[in-house]
Amino acid sequence: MPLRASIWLALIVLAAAGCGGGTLSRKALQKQAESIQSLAAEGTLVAKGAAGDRTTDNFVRVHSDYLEEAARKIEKDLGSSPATGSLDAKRKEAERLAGMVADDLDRLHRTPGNRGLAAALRSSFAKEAEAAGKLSK
Amino acid sequence: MSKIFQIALGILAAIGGFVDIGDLVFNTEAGAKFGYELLWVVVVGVVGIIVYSEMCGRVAAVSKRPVFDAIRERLGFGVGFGALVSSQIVNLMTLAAEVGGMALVLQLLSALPYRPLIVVAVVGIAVVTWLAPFEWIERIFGYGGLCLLVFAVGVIKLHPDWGSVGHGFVPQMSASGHLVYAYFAVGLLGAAMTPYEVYFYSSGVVEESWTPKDLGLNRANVIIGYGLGGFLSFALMITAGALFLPQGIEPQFVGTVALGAQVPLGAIGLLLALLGIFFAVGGAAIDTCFSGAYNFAQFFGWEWGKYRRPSGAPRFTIAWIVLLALALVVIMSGIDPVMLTEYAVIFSVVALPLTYIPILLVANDRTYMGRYVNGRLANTFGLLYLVIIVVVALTAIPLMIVTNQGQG
Repeated sequence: MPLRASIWLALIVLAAAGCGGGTLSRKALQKQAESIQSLAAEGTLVAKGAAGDRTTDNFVRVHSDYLEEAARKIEKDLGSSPATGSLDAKRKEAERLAGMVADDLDRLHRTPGNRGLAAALRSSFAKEAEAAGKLSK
Repeated sequence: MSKIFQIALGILAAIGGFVDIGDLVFNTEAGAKFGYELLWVVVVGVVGIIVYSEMCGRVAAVSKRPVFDAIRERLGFGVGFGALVSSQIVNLMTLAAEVGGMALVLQLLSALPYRPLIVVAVVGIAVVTWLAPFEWIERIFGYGGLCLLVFAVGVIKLHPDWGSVGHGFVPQMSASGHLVYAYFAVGLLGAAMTPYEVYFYSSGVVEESWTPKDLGLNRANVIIGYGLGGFLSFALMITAGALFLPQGIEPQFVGTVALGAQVPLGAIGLLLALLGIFFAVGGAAIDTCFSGAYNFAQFFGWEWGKYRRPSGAPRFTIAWIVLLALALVVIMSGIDPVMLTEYAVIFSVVALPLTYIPILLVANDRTYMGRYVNGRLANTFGLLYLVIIVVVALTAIPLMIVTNQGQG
């Protein structure tokens, strides 16, 4: 193959890989599920601190915002990367979980001083972390 | 009391070097991924930086020549200029990341918007650097960073498995994920021996007018300062191993690091952790800002030093102001400071041999050092670490690419 054609081919392959529009692999889905589990588990810790009045409202407000942003990104990435066969059902489940984690983090971000809500969110995060953990297996 | 103040230089160099924004997250990530298995790497790094900082402090005290002076002389203009460019790129990346880190901590404390806080951080550094004498900068940021000791208290409250912690100090390979493990080992070593620590430390020795009479103080500074930096690294890694690993948390944010003190110690632990991070990151920002200006001035033979008035060393003063302004531009572009500093750590590893080989050569030169030339012990450790540094420098970037920056 001539050099110029090889370069074009390489550029097209790289561009396709970088567009994020490719099919989701099992390993990539597992990584995303692990990340959702991580964010939900961290949400549990933040909510536990807020529920027990062992943290500051500013910290809860700001940190949950960063965590929410990360969860939304995963939700968006999963939504734009179709998978095939049984993997697609898992992908949809992971996308739904990422959305739930992001919504709960948003609630924590908006009302960091509400101890009752924080206690409820703590158990919600724990369930989401467990579900994401199962999905990543 | 004056003895305590005299070790401020070592403490600032070490806290700025060991627990800057990247190290905080890197150490915590290492603990969250591998538990206590990488503790031994921190020990290797601490001994290495003690060996070389003692050497360059001694060279500076005896010959009044800081590191970049030696680099230019020993490597010649061409290679020396290459070392200058590479170290200044890494300095600028690190400085920008530290400024971003200061703004992130201020945001976690105040809930104010991030970007205006970047400007506040830069103006704060500029004002302190312009107005405060060198020794007060050391004391404010060095001792302020000691708030990070809250993580050591937190470790006790987290009740880690001390048997496993002790086992972590024994060199080992991980049972799984060899390449990711190697990436973290290389990164931790690079972070411990990052070049700007020795640029700053050796220039600080000249700033403080140390002489051969102060060589005992030099040893005390490097052993206590870097020992303390290593101790804080242990505390961060053990916290992550005890708290984050069992829950599958992958730390990516500064707030996650602070959570490591909040969970065991409540709001007071959180506030002390955030203050400690602020001063450590601020100290690192000043280390890198000064290091950049020192490097330019020493390489091109300008007047330099914080002990001079700005008008007495105008090009040095302009250099640190320009570096700070460039850092502001870089971090205002929206780049993630944690990501930026992780790249800076890995790229700085590549430049390690260019920094440490000239130090070893000058420390062995009797024309400069007279009877203070390296002894057998210093040379044995110096050569051993040179081999380690070269291996680490050759493997850092391939490992970063193969492991997708430690993500596996």
